[in-house]
Amino acid sequence: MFKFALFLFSALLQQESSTRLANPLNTEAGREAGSRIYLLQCASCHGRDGRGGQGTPDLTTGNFRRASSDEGLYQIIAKGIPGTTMAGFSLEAREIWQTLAYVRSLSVPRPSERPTGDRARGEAIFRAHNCAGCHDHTAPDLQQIARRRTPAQLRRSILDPDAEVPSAYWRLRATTRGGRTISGLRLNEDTYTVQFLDESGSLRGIAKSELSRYQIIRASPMPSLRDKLTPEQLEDLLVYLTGGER
Amino acid sequence: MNALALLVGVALQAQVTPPGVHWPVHHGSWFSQHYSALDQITPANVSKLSLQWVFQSQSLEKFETTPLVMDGVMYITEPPNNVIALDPATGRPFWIYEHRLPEVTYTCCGKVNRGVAYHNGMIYYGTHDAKLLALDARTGRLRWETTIVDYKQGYSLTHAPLVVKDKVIVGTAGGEYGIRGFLAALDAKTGHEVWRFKIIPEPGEPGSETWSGDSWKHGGGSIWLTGSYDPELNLTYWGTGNPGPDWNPDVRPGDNLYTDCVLALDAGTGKLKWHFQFTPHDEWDWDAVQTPVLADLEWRGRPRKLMLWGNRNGFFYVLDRATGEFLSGRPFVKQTWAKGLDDNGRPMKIPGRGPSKQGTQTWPGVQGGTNWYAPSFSPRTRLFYLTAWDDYHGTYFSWDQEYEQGKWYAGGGVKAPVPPTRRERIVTRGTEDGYAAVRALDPLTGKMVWDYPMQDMSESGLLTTASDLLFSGNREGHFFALDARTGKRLWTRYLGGQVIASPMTYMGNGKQYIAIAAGHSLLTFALD
Repeated sequence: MFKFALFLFSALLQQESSTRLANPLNTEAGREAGSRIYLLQCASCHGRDGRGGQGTPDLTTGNFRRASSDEGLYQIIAKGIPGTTMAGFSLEAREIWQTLAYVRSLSVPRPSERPTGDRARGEAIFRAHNCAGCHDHTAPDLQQIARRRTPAQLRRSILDPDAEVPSAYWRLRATTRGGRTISGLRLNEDTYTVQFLDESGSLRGIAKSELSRYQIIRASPMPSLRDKLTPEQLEDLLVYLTGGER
Repeated sequence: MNALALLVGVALQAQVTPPGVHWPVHHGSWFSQHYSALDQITPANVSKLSLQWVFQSQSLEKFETTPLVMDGVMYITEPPNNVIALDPATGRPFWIYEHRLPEVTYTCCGKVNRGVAYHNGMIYYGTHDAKLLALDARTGRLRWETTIVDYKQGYSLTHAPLVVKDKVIVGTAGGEYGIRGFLAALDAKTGHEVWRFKIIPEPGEPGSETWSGDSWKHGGGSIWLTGSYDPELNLTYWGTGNPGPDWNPDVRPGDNLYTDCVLALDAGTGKLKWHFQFTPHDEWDWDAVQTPVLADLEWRGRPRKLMLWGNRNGFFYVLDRATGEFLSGRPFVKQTWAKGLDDNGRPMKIPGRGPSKQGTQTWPGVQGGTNWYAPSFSPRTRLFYLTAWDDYHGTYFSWDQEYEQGKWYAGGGVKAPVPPTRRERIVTRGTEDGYAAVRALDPLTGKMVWDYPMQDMSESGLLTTASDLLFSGNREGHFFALDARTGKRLWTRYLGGQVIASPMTYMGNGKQYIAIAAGHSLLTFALD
């Protein structure tokens, strides 16, 4: 323990010029030890695969909502998040750094999953099909999509858009008691009301009691590119989509 | 309120059923019916309810308090471990007691506290570092402090104590940290322990045969919700938590007594009179930590002292609370783990529905068909009301885990499309993964009389009143009143913060108030 404290202290000294403390145990051994701690202390809620359990965040995207630095994430593991089921964990400093090293490793995509294609050709396909026409507006934001979806999921969505439509992209069609038809992208819903972006681009809310008919449309408005892309073109497009900032 | 009425109120309060003008104990009365004899607010005028005052907590932790109102003062807990005395007519604080906690404590699911107990001018409450504190109700000064157990072993206290005959009864949380839960009764004047009931028996003690090897040593059996009391029987009733580790039942073959039970203990000695185990050898984390609701009803032609229990395992039970005899039980939500209950109330488990390495999908999900938020029984409608989670499942995983002191000890995990708590501010999911409902059941048949479904889940408890109103809220941030006879909605307010607490009611300055914690605030409503 004393040796480890010394190690931590020297790690701190080395970081003196930096504003944030980086994980001193981000090593193969650290990740290995962290994987065991993760399974026993974290996986009950975050899932063995780190992809979330019951409303708990997906830890594999590389995007951490509450903190991005190692030091910030260390504090979250140690102290928890108020108002949530994320308790602070009584782990040794060493164990927290090891856990964090493992959690960070979950966001590194496995090489076998990486699409192989040509980014420039993919960009041309993206433009030719006017993908941004919808995806810059109400369709899912494709910036950093690779952090949220695997290439396999993206491939499936491009070929079969209805295969999985997250509820945040379900649309509504309804008729008011006065006989008016309303439709748009459903943004939020509770027992008594629904909030949506209507076809004219206005944000609106309506009480369900004012509606005589209410329908949620779970199909995607996106056309399938199954018959429009060769397998090579699909890989080009995937490289463009998953290749970082555009 | 004249002096005579006040005296009558106090006399009733001695019986504690009904509670009269006060809300003297956590569940409203010793019978824990969450029913009030107050009737100023009625179905005819409830639409005129308006906001009276708001108390804003300074904590971002989940706000699960149910206030007490005694002798013109409201007492609440503010997370993690503060107690505040307020003017119930204005919300202005009289005093605040702040308990300093160690940096690390062991609460599985949020640094919460659900309330206090009042007795003879003292306020009692438990802390996350497993202390029971006694405060002077007038000044908020600490009178005594007793360490119940070493919190570093994973114990904490989160529920409101129950005071019965000068004894403060409190139990220990920590079912996910490998504790061995117990109930302790302390002398209300001195804080000295009078009796202790071990929920996990040691080898040689009755019930120890339901454990194998050393599994009893970290067998769980927490207590995290206040019990009930029957003065005539002198029995106090408590629901107990899951066995540990939660989702690796293979390491603890047997029924695992007294986890997932209701215990009937002699209030004077702590001796076990009877027990009833809802989920023997629990594989899903279905704590029997629900409010023991006591009701006197005619059962099959003769008056009986009953206990009504909507359990996390998805079944609604009626027991004889004098003897523990199982009288009836049937599911109140979709469940896929049991064929039913046998003549003794024991579930007939369907094999293969417990956790597995690859995951097993089972209804209900880990939060159960209902949970800790208060149900209600109205002696007027003779209906039992509860917040139900229906069509809700979980995928249960199991893995091997060795116990380590102070560490999470669950032996598995659960995936579910519905978050167990804390609603996101934007919700778009459909109701096919589960929805909540306020559900009215006829205790005599177990059948649903009416149902009030909601879009999202609810962790709000219920309150019924002598004017046949039912108050509840939900995760969406609504607070509403239903007609207790029909389930028809009569009044709603959007409070903007999720309700994870149970409503209560009291009189102040001639007005009937309804109080509810929502978001990080306590709000009160009355007729102007």
